[in-house]
Amino acid sequence: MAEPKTYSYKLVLLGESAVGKSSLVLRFVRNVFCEYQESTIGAAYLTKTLTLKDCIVKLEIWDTAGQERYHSLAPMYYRGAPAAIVVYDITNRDSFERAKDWVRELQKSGGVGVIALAANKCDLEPRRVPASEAEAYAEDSGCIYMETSAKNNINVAELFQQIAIKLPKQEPEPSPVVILEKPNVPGGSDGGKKCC
Amino acid sequence: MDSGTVIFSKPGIAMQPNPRRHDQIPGQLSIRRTEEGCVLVEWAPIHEATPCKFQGASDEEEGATVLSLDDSAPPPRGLESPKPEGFSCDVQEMKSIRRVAPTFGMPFAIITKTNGTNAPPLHFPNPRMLDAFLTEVQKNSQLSRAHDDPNLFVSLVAVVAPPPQSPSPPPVSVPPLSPSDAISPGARGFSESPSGAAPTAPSTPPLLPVSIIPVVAPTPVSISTSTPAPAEPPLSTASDAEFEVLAATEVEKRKIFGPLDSVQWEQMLDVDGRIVDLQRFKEYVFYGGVHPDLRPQVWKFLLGYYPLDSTAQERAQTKEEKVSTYFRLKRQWMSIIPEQERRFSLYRDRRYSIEKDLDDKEHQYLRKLSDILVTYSFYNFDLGYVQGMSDLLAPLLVVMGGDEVDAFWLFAGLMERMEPNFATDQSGLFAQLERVGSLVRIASPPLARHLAEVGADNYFFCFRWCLLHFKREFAYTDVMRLWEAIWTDHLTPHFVECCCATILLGQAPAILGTRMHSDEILRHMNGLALKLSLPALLRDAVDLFLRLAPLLDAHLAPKPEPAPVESTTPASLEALSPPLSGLDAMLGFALPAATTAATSAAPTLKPPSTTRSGAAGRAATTTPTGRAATPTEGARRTQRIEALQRLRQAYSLSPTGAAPPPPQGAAPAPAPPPTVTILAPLLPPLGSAF
Repeated sequence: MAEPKTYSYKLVLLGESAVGKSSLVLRFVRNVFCEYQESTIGAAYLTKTLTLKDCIVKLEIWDTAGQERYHSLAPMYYRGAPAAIVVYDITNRDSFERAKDWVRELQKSGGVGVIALAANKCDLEPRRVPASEAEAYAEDSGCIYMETSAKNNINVAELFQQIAIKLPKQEPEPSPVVILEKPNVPGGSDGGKKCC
Repeated sequence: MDSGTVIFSKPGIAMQPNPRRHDQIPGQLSIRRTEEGCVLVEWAPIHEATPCKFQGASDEEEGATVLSLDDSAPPPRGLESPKPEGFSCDVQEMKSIRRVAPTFGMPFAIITKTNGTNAPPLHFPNPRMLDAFLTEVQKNSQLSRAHDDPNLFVSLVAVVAPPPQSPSPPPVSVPPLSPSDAISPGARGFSESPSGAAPTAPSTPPLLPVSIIPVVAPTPVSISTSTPAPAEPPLSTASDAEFEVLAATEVEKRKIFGPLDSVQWEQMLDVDGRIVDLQRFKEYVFYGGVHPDLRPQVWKFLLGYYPLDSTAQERAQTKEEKVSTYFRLKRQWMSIIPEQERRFSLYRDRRYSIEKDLDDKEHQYLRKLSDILVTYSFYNFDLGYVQGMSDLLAPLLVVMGGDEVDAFWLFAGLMERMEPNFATDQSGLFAQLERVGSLVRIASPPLARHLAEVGADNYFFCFRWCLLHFKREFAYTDVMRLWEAIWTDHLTPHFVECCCATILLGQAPAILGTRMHSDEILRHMNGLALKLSLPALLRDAVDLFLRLAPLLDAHLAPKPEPAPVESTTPASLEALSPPLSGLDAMLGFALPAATTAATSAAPTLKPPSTTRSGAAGRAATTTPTGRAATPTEGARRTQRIEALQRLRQAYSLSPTGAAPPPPQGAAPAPAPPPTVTILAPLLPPLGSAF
C-alpha cells in the first residue's frame, strides 16, 4: 500500500486575552497545562502532526497575543491560514462577544476556510455564555463548535482533529511558505503566500 | 592632464576625506572632456589655504574659502598629513551619484563607481551649485535621475566594472581605490599618487564565514594566527587608528570595571552626595553592572527617580514627595465606590485586564503589581495597561524589595523610555525592528538576504525581545544586569537593537544552514529563551556596535555643533557614533558596494522585493549593473569575494595595521599597542559564543 499523503496547514488561534489560547495549544502539542500561563507577547509557533484515517496532517500553529492593543498585528498571522480557532472563555461574556468579532473579521477577510469556535474553560463556573446560544451562533456562521477545557483536557485533541478532517485535502507537499507581512503595508503580497 | 575642454569648473567645493569626521579639504571641482573623448570629473585640493570659518553660502564665486566647520578643534595628530592629491573619475565608471541636501549643513554628493567603491563626499557651498554640477554630469554621461528616488542619479549603461586590481584597466587612468575604500574612503585612497601603482591585491581569505562579525576572544589573540601572511598594504589611516584606539579603550573598560559596589559608589559621590563623574558612573554600570545590594539605590538614578545631579539632601526631599504623590494617585481609584464603578466601564475594563494577567489576589507581590499597574494607568491614563507591562514591572518590584512606591516610580521612569513601544500604533517597536534590520543588513548581507527571501525581513521574530527588553529570554539576575546596562545609554541609546542583531548574527549559521522559513525562525528565536549567555551577549553586542559605529555615522544627520575631539574619552566616541536613527536612509550610499555586489552575486536567489525592503534593497534593485548585465559565474564569484573583503576590512579594525599612534591629548598612559589586538579579526562567528 502507498504511504499516506502528508498535508500541511497553517492554523491560527485568535481570541480575547486570557481565554486560554496558549493553554489549548500547549495541551494539544505537549499535553501540559500551566495554571499561571504567562501572556503571549508577539506570537508563538508550534507544530503537531496528526494521523488521520487516510492521510497525515501537519498543523503549523500560530498562537497570537489577544489584547486589543495587538489587534493590528493579527492579519499578519491569519493571512494565508486556511484554518483558525477562535477561543472564548465561557465565564466571560465579553470574550464571547469578542469571539464573534473575530469570526466576522475572518469571514470578511475571506481567506480562512475552516473556523472553529472553542468555548474554553468549560470546567469553570459560573457560566456566562449558554452552550445553546454559542452553538446556535456557530451553526449560523458555519463554524465548528466545541466546548473545551485545556486544564482538564476536555475535547482539546478532538477540536484540532475535527479541523484537520474538515480541511480540504488538495494542497500538495511541500507546504506553502507563509509570508509575514507588516500590518498596513500597502501592496503586500496577495494572500500572503509564496511557494518555496 | 589638463588638455581637453573644461565643461564645468567651480572652486569652493570641499572634499571630506573621512565620512566620520567633519574635516573638509577645500578644492576645485571640474568636468573635463579629454582629447580622447572621455569625460572626467576631477577634484583637486587648493593648497596653502588657511583654515577659517565657512563664510556662508553666498560666496559661491569666491569659493576658495576654506570650508571648515570646526576650526576650533585642532585636527587629531596624523590627520593633517599627508595632503590629499585629488582625484579623477571617468563618468563612464560612475554607477551612481547620490545627492544629499541636509536640512542643516551643506549639500553634498557621493559618487559610487561601477567597481563598487565610493569617492569621498563632495560638499558644495549651496544646492544650486550641486544641481549645476549634476546637470552637467547628466548632459555628458549616461547618468540620469532614478525614477523612484529624485536624489539618486544612476547610470543607464550596464557596465560590469573590472575588479580594482584588474590586469586590464579602463582606458582612462583613474587611481584605483583599494576595496576598503568602499565604505570608509577616508584619506587612504588619496594618499597614494593618482598615477601610482595599483595597490597590492588583497589576499583572498581562505574561508568566507557566514557571519562576518568577529568575536572578541576571551584572551588576546595574536593577529598572525587568524590572518596568515596578510598581503594587504597597511590599512591604518590616522583616523582609523584613532577610532581603533577608542574602540580598544572601550573594550579595555570591561576589564577595568567590575560590579559597582557600595565602597566604589561612596567614592563616586562628593561631600553633598552628588555623583562627581557621571560618565564614569555610567561606564561602571554599563561594563560592570551593579552589585545586587546597591541596585535599589543606583536604579533610582538610572530610571530618573532621582535627578543624576541631585544631592543627598535633595534626594531625601524627592523621596518624600514621591511617597505622597504615589498615594494620592492610588487613592484616586481606591476611593471609587461600587455604584461608581458600575457606571465606569473604562475603569472596570482596565482593572479587569490587569487583574486577569495577575490573577492571584492572595499573592502579596501580585497584589502589589496589580495595584501599581492600576495606579499607573491613572497616572498615564491615555496609555493605560498593555500586556507586557507587568513583565517590565516585576523585576523592578523585586529589586526594590517589594516597596510599592519605589517600584511605581521606577516603572514610570522606565515607561518614559518605552512608551512608544506600547502606544496604540506601536511606532516605537516598529522603529526598533527597523533598526535591527539595518544593523543586520550591514553586518551580514547573506543573512539579511535570506530573511528577505523568506519574508521575515519585518524582523517580527524580535518583537518580544524589543518589547520586553529580553525579560523573557534570560533569568532574573541576568535580566537585571542587562537592563541596567541598557539604561545607561552608554555608547548608544539603541543597545537593545544591537543585542537583537548580535543574537541574530549568532544564529545565522543555523538559519542559513537549514534555510529556515519565517515560521521556523520565529520558533527558533522563541526557543532561545533561557539558553543564551548574557556575558557573551553583552560582549558581542558592544563589539558589534564598535565595529559598525564607523558606518553608522550619518552624513544625513549632521551635527550642528561638532563635538571637539577629546582623544580617548568615551564622549568623543559617542560623538563619533551618533544614534542609529537615519541609518536606513544612509544605507543606500554608505554601503551600495557591499550590498549590491553581494546581491548580484547570488543568481539563484530572488532579489529583495522593492515594495518592502529598505534603502539597501532599493539600491540593489535600481542598480543598472545588476539588472542588465549578466556577469559570468566567475565574475560573480569575484564580486562576491570582493564584497566580503570590503565588509571584512571595514568591520575588522585594521587587523594588519601597525599599532596606531596615540591620539592627541591622550591620557599620559604609554601607547597601548597590545589593545589593538583585543578586537581580534575573523574569529569564529558569534554562534560559538552561545
